[in-house]
Amino acid sequence: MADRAPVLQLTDVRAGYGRRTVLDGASLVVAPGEVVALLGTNGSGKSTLLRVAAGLLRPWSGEVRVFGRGSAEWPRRDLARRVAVLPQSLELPLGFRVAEVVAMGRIPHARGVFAGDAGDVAAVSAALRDADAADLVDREVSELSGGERQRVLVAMALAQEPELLLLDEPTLHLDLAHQLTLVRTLARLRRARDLTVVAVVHDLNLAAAMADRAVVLHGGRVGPAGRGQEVIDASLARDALGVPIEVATTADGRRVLAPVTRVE
Amino acid sequence: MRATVATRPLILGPTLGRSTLVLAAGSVLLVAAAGIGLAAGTSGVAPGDALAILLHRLLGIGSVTWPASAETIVWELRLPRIVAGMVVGAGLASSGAVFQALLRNPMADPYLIGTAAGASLGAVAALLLPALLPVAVTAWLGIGAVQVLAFVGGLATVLMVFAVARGRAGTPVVTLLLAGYAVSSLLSAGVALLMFVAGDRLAAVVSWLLGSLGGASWPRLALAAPLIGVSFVLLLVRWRSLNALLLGEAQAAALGVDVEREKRRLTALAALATSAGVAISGTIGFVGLVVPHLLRLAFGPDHRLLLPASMLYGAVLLVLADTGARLAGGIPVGIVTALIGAPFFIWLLRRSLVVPRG
Repeated sequence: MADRAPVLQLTDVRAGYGRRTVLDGASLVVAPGEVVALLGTNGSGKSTLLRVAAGLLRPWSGEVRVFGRGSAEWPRRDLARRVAVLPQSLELPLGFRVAEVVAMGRIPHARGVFAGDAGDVAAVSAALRDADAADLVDREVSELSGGERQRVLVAMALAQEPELLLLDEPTLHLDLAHQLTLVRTLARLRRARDLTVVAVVHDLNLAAAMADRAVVLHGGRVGPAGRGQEVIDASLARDALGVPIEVATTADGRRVLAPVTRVE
Repeated sequence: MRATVATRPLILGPTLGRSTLVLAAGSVLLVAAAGIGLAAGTSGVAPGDALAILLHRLLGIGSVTWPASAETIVWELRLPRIVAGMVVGAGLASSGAVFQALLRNPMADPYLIGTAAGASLGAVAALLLPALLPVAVTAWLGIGAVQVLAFVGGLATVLMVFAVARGRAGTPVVTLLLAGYAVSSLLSAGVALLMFVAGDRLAAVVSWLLGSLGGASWPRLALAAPLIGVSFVLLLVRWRSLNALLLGEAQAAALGVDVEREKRRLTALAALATSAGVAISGTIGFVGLVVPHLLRLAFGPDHRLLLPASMLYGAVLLVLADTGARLAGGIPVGIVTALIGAPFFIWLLRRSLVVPRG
């Protein structure tokens, strides 16, 4: 894995909004096929890092390379064929059906003037299945629950057939069953087409389950957090989440984290 | 994974059959509206004669059984007026749909970011030129001075508004709306000042500002129709960008839309169509606001159907409204569209209070 060119490379990135600096010397290298969990407290810059990586926010300084090319040099449409973003929140326009919204993921691949082609239908169909949203296909988007909307947004991102998937809290609003489905889908897509994933995750147990490694954003910089079960660590949890955490062990020997919820 | 996927094909947008039905129905309505507009009138031309004249002039069918004056009324007065209603209604409704998507504002109409104020200032200045400038200049500008200055004023104002709103990081939609409001207010002050000094030309000024298709003629249509037609086609092929913009600018960018470039192009094209329409009709309200809303409710928000449907049904509405205006003794058509449009808009507002949003 190490001998292949990185999919995403952030070097000493400074970025923010107005006068507020959010990222201050952030660096991160993501290899092809890697799944990276991005941890950190609210306001630590996780979403900002994803926006910079997606080319949606231009950094003040530092370098962002996506597939070996500077993110500012990418034509928008070419980049959107290879990188998909799941935003943290998105207003879905009234009046569209689920299939129509998911089909918008095909916009960067569009060839015909008006109609989509068989490739679009196949991609949308597969994305709906992978996001476990196939049963929603004819529903109006304004009628969806929070978790159903989230599955539709995941499907739209998958319909882009990206090589790099940037997910901002992908399990938001999802019940436990759908969280596990999503983790399994990402694992399968990664095996099937070498999908690379960077995901903002708040649940360290989930991070340990889905990611090869986790990194933690703190003070505008990216620090290592560990690989697999190493993430399940009390001092790391305190850094990433800002609260005391206890480590417990399950009957089958896995370590899990539990917040210390004693009220003084 | 659940096995509830039906075996029927996945529908990713308006189907060809449904689109054909919607647009064919619009075309039939348009032909019917034109027929009514052509046959109806207060000048004593028999409705049968009006249609016979049209068939005779277009296809060479039938023999002349009507007075020459009837032919002049139908061919030189009613028909250009009907075609102007079609062209202006189509332009207003389709650019209204574009502005509503672009500005993500349900209150948006084609006049919002400066076209109306700019065109009004241009037209009013032209109407008053005889009083302000030597006769030689107006003669040189000729009969089309009002139309030319209205068109240039409308288009130039939108470009100015865009320049005011443009910052280093792009052109935020909210800034665009506010800049449009500010510049429009400034130009409206100019219009008010000109009206104050207009003297005996005031009636002509007011009549233009209220909007009318009465000044329609074939040469003026030859100027406006191609501009509206070309902008419509160039807007229609951007339906994917318009759909993506409904998801917000960040997500549109993530889907590969060059958001700032598309905003510039869409604004320029919609402003071009609006200004060309305003130039031959003055400002006619509600068509550009109400028609896209109604069609979105009826046929869905996908722009590849919404834009052509807006064009057809906008044309139908304005042709019928203008026929009503003529039959009501020649009142300005803007009064009729307001009488139809305002109650509808109130209904729309009430409905949005009842139906919970996303």
